[in-house]
Amino acid sequence: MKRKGKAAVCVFATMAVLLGGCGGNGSEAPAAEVSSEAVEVQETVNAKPVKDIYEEIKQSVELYSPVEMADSFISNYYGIVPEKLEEYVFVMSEEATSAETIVIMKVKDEADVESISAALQVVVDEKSAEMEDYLPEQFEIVDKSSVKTKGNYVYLVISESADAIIGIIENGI
Amino acid sequence: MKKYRWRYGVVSGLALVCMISGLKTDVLAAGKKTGRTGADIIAKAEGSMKAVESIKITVDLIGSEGTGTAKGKETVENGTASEDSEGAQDTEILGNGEEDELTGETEENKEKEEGGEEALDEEEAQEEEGEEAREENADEIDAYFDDSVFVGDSIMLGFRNYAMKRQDTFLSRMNFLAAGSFSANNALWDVGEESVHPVYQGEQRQIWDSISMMGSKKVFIMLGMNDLNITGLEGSCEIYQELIGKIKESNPDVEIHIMSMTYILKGEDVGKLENNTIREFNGMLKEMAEGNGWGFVDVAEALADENGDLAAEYCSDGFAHQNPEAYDVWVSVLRKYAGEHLE
Repeated sequence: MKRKGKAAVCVFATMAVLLGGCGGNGSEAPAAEVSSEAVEVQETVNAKPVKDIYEEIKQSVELYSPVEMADSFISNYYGIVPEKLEEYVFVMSEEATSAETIVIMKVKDEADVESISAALQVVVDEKSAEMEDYLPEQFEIVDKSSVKTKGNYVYLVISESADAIIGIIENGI
Repeated sequence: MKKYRWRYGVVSGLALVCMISGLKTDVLAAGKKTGRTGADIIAKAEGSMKAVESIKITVDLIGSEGTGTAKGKETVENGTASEDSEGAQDTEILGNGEEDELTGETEENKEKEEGGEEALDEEEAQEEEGEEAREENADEIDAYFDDSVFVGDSIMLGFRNYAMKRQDTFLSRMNFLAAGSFSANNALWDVGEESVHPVYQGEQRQIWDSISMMGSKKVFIMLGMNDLNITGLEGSCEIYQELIGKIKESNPDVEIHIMSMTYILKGEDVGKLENNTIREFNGMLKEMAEGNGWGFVDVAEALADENGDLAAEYCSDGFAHQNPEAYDVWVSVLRKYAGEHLE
């Protein structure tokens, strides 16, 4: 009998707490905000390092002589300040006859996402102009590509296997 | 029988000339490939050394055993078989105590052959010395490219990507202004939607402006692939000169080094884009460079096969673009050039 009494007290207390939590209009909005932040935090926690994502891409897709470009490359040619990036991979094909490009950048400050996107659009325009009258098949691949953003991430995929690569990136960030 | 002795001399001489000529061809081929990969040189050198040994054995046998006829015959059979019977007659001569004179003749040929070997050794020694000197000055040679920019089309773009893949070498310090479809012709266009000026600092710019921004001291330029079919030989040279004029106008102190336009694969001609025209174009570029006090770096010949076409082993796309092995040759040629131009 003593046990039953304790159980009844616990159930009552739990219900009181739950009812208290639900009570009043003013408490609904904060609860939703907490929920949204929690999702974002959860996403960040689950996001993989971009190098790992790139490794996963290499495991899944056969890339065409990929070359990882260095800080000097992205700053000299595309005016991207490496210090603005938390992490990144910028990969182009070593073969001049292939437009294949994979860029994944995690921007430190979300305010810089737009300028980084614009810088990557220059890559698309450059490849497009190079291939248009030269290698029509490559031009088509470039033409289908676009710069994408998600939170603090900016990425660009120019590849025959773009769908598969984008899938891996989307799952990773 | 003595009267035939002169013929023996002729036969032996001819035989040795034939053999030495064969050797010379091998050596020249090996020499031509000097700018290529180490493996090529080693393979050629080994072949040449075998030929040297073979000739030496023949000559030794002629000289020491006094059976020059037998070996002479063997050699002649490879050249002029009609001398066979007279070779046999010469055997008798040898038996008649004529070997001293005969030995004298073969010794002379042997000396000539040894002279050939010495020349070969000397050439190899010079090359080795050059390599050693380059290794001793390696840092200076690498530093030669520190303030340089390489300008070009998709062929140069391939070199840029090759360089980017080798970030732990001096190549990482090179600058590039390269774009697919770039030409001396469209390099003069204004920046616009149709232009393909190499991007620098986030936007297309005319190369003389980018060179100014980079503060480059040396410009290595290779164009023409996308010009010959538009403006032909003369016109392309004029445009080339005009473009360099623009670069010099904005950057008066910059050094200009023209790089020869590389060849295409045999049988892949597209209009005026064919190897004899390219060869002629390169000759004109060389003259233009010499006439203006500019440098000229000949990469094309180092990548050419014995017919003067782009060697298949260096081609990546069955046409004109090149693979990393070709760019290894570029590096070798450029470092040699730098070594020759160190102040």
